[in-house]
Amino acid sequence: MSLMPQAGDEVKTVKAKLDCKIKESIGDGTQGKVYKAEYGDQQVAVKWYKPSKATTKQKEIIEDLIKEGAPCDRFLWPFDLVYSSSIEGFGYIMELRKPGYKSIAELVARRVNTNYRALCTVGYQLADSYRKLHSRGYCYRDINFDNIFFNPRNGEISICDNDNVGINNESEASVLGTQRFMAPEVVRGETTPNTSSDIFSLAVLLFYIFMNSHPLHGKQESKIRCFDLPAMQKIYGQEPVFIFDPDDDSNRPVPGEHQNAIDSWPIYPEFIRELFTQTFTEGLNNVNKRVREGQWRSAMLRLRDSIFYCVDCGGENFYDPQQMDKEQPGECCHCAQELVLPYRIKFDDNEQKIVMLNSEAKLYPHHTDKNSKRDFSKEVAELTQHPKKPSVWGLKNLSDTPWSVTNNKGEIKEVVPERSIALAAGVKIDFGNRVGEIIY
Amino acid sequence: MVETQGDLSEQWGLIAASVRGAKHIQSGLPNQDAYQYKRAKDYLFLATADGHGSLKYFRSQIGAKLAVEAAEEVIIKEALVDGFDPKTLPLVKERVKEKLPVRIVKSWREKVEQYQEDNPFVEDETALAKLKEIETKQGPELREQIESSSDGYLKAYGSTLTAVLVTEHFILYLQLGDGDIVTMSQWGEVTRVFADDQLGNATNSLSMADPAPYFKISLTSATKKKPNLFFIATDGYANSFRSEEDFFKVADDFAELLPKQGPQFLKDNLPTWLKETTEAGSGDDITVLLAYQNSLLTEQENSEEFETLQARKDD
Repeated sequence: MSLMPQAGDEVKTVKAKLDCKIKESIGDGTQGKVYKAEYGDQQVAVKWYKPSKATTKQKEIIEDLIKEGAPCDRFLWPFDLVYSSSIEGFGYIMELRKPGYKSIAELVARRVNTNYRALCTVGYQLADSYRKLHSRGYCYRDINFDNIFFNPRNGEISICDNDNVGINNESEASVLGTQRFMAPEVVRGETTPNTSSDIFSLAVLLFYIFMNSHPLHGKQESKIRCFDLPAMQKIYGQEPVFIFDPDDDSNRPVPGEHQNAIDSWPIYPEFIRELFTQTFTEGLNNVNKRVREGQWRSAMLRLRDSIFYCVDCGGENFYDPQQMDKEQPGECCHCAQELVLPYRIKFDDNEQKIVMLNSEAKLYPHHTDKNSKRDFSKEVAELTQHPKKPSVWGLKNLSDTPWSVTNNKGEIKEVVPERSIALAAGVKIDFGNRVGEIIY
Repeated sequence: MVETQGDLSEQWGLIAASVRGAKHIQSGLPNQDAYQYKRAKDYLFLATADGHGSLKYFRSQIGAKLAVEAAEEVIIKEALVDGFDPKTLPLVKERVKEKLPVRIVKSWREKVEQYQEDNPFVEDETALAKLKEIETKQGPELREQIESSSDGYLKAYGSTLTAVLVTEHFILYLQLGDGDIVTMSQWGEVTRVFADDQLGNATNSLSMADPAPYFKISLTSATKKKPNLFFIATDGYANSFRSEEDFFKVADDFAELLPKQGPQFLKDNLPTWLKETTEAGSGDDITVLLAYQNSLLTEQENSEEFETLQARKDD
């Protein structure tokens, strides 16, 4: 009996009782190996456990996950167990990661070209996926940047290594997580990973994605040698201090060493910095103060809507209504030229519901319909240029219901589907149950 | 309890040579390579750096020297931790990959900044002449950028970096830009540690705006797969060979000569061989640092045994 599958070996699925042909190995970890495999006409991935890890308990965990099914299709979830009479142990079969997807580790190492819009989508999908997982009573336990993959063009994500998922506060954890992503109470050994520690790890991951640095890596970390892992416990567990803690400047990022954090932090709007600050100050030791997945989800969508482009270099910037003067919004974070704000639309007269109307902007039911939160399934409006006057921009009605538009003189007009309304400050559009006002 | 290997300085032998490139001699350029090595009881450290050759990198021989100095200081300080537990090696790897390049770059920049402060371009006739040449040949903007922008002077010091640290628990290989680290296993298998995946002639450099992500780092356990011999070389060496196979054969030659002729023979002849190599090959400076396990010197008897086994296998 061989210990691990070889290319060309046939293994069988337990439920469907079909053959699956093992191809090349595509990953090797402490628990087992992952192979590309052929399952009928489908290309799949098979994870096979090393003999010491192929325990009855592990098998039960996978059986349970298969029975429950994936929280959403972003999880590369086990869908059947596999076995072979000639290979020891067992494995499971899952969907193969889509081509072109990159790991967050590659993003953090700055080896992936992407943009803020895609990163906001990554952040939104992460928060949304973990919310769905947690609402089922599961915890992930090992959130880190090696098991999240994303499409650099649009930010769509895939979450791998789901076999460490377990029932919150019930099933025994086989992993403690990756130290730098662990919540302080897990590092100190006071608890095993659970949904509250997952939420902490999610915030660390988001901080890495947006700041390219660790939220606790500052002056204290700069004194610790690279190979001295035990010393890092103090940073993560015993004495964690947020690098931008407004009330404690003892662990500020060090120029040259944590330059990414220094450069990135001011780029983001205050509402994003507040969420990180809350999680990494009060939330360090009080799990109830940690920003929840739902809050991150809304914040990431708001952040995506606040992107606008520098007229000089075309670089992405974020609109911050709390910080930016409408007349003088400040300098581009890429080229330092003076920024010019584009038209934007504010819904329900709420500063938190502003969408920047860039040339490629689109509105979705998420924006225009109170009852369709996070619905991006169809476009409701898009920006268009006047066919004869290219300098005049309009908002085209892509929905199937007319809009009631009030101009700044108080005149009311109907804009039927496929027609556009010219952008002008003060124009109000009633989309049905939500009103948006054009601002300039 | 971890078994210790004893004194590393008694286990490893070292041979180093650096020659000025044939083309550098013709054009009056100095040897822009630099190297540094240290053999201590608990570690063996080797580093080479190749200062870039084109006009704007007119202080690259200094940049290269400061690069190997920074590498030695930072790597030894960061890696030699009292009571290091080899079991933590897989976990340490992530931190080393993230932090070590950042700290080496920081140290190199501080050293360059200090050198620049002590030797400003305006007080250096050679530098002024080079800046004038840059202005004439490549336009006043480049001169302006090097001379006046806040850290534009770094460009003049552009260099690659290659380093290896051997301890009783691990071997750390590190590389930024061109250059080669070649290892020979105990079974005679010759491999290049990092694949040459850079396209075109432009090399990654310490003088880039953000070089840290471009460092290649490999950290392997020294208890399992310790090479018998390895060498690091600036790219003038590999570029002098017609093929990768020819270049790899150098490792075989070293391994064969060491027990037969002794290390002194290699020490005496390496500079001449390298000189001939640059003349017939790349014309570039060549620096080679060769490290070998001293046990290799006494393995002639074993090699006979190996041949016997080989013959049996062939039968």
